[in-house]
Amino acid sequence: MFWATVLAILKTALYGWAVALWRLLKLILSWLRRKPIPGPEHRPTAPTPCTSVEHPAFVRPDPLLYSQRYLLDRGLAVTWDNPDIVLFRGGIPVSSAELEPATTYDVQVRIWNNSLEAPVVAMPVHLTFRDFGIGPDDIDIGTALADVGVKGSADQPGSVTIPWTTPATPGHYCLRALLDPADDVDYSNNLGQENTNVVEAQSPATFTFALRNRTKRAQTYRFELDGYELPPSGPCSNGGDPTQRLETHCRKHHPVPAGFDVQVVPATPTLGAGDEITVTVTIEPPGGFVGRRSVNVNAFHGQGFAGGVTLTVVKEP
Amino acid sequence: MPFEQYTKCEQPANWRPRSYWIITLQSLTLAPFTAILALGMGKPWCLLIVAEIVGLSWVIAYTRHFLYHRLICLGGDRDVIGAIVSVSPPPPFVKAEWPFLSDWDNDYSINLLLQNTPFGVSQAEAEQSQPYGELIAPQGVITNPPVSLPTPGHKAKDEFGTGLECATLHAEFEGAGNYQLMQVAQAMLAFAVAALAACVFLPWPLDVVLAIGLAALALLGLLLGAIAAHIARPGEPTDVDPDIGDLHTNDQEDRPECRDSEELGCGADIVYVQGTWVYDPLHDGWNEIHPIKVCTKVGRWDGDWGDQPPDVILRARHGFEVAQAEETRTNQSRPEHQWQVHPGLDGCDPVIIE
Repeated sequence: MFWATVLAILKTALYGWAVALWRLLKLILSWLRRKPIPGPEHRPTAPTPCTSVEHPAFVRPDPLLYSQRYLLDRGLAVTWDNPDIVLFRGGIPVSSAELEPATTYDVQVRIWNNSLEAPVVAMPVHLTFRDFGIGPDDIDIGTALADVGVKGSADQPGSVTIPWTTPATPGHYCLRALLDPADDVDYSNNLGQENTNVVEAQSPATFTFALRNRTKRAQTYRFELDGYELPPSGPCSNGGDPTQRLETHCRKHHPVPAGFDVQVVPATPTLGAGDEITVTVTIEPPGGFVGRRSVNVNAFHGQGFAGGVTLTVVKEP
Repeated sequence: MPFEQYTKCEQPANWRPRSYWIITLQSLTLAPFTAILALGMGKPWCLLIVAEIVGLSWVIAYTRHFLYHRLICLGGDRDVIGAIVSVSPPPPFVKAEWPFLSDWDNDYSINLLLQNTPFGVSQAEAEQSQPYGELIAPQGVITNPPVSLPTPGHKAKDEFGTGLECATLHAEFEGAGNYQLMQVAQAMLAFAVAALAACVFLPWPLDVVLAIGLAALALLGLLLGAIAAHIARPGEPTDVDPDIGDLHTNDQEDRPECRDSEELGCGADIVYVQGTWVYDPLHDGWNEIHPIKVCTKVGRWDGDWGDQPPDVILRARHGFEVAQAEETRTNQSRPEHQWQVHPGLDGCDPVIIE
């Protein structure tokens, strides 16, 4: 120990000073590159029981799932046929639009992690359901703990499976999966919903859903319609970067399909706090239409986005 | 951001208590040669620059001891689950005590309530707790010769929750303060040596002008560099970075869900911490994790440990082993893992050649 330090000082005098000078220059450059100090609107100073820690050893996971509200806020079109919420019966995938009453399904929630460094560990995933529509109350189904590996690992995506026995009353239901991590780089993409209905076109196809005002004041609602369906991912060899790929999902690129006539009644309902009405949507496909086509109905009020449903018209040949 | 470790721990058999006499002796390494040179060339006033060289050497010797010969290894890397009792950021520069060298440590410290122990636990109880009591218990390599030091343990107060004092495991996010101070001193040593050379070998008045200039530059560089090294530390709450996280202690007042939990405490983050298990003899004597190599939140304290799955440490350990695996690091640069929003939207499918 004694001689190691003596040797170190000798080395420093001979050549170590040059190495240190180089490191010092790099250090000064890194100080100069530090980002500017923001105002409190960007990052308020932490209160005393809460201390900010910026250190490479303190790592934060970034769990997420297909979250419609998060995507809409980014100007993207969404489907309410959530790719990360899948129902199984006897191991076979089934559509959430075609559920049988008093039947037990396994609901599988798929979870991603956008962190390169921090895995998601024992994160509660809460599953609830609502009557089909926009705004009704949540009813608990269950909670399970999920682990999700970092990006690029074999442990991604993670998933949990929660059994759900449907109510005895026939109907359509909206499933909601909420991620509840102990820490998260971005908490805004943790709620995903599965909210679909399928009707065979009988010229026209008629759908109904409940619209409830969950805010504390009267709201006037408007509906925005689009024909977005989640396309399969293309191969990476097609080129393009993530930004370009994201651009293809913008809402402006996905109008209601040509020839489809969609009517929402009432078109601009006003609801008092807690009020609920039934909204009817009629979809008239063009003559000669055969197959399946989805229309998304997204509801907005004065405070922003309220919810949405995906309605699928089916016409057999 | 790459993690850089600045300290190393010393094996118990090689460890010696810190002695300012030894540090001073080490700082005289260059003194005999430089002093003889100054006197031999008939320029005794150049001894002032020799004194500066000795001073810079002293800083180097001190910081080397602090970084490489202070901590005593207890048994490699360990991991633990614990609740945050208190967090100690480094003191603001203006509050640092003189001499700055005695307070140049800019580590962030956290004090952990070991899993399966309650707030208010005593040192004796915590040492007996499972599965982590061993981490704070006295170790034979410390209590026996040649180290022969006590381990009274580290206590921390749950200031904003129960108000109770608890036996805790101390852990430190390592700051670069002392390391950067050493770098500054090493670099400035070059200017001091150059000043001596100018003083000894150049003719008057060039020797005086250049020697004073270079010597002043070395002093000024040390002073400014040392101040900058102390100020520019990680963890400033005002830094702009969405990845910056917060650590919370119990907090009954600000959390409505915690108002009825005064006796048991509520709101503290439960964290997984992995790092080097050492004994730090500079304090009262306690075992600690230093440096923390990984820390992440895994839960929140709500009055007991019941909500924590018993295998949470195994799950976290596995997650980080996979995260740090070479294969994972390689995969992360592949095109299919460059998505930022959702893999089904801005992601793509890997190219598979069959």
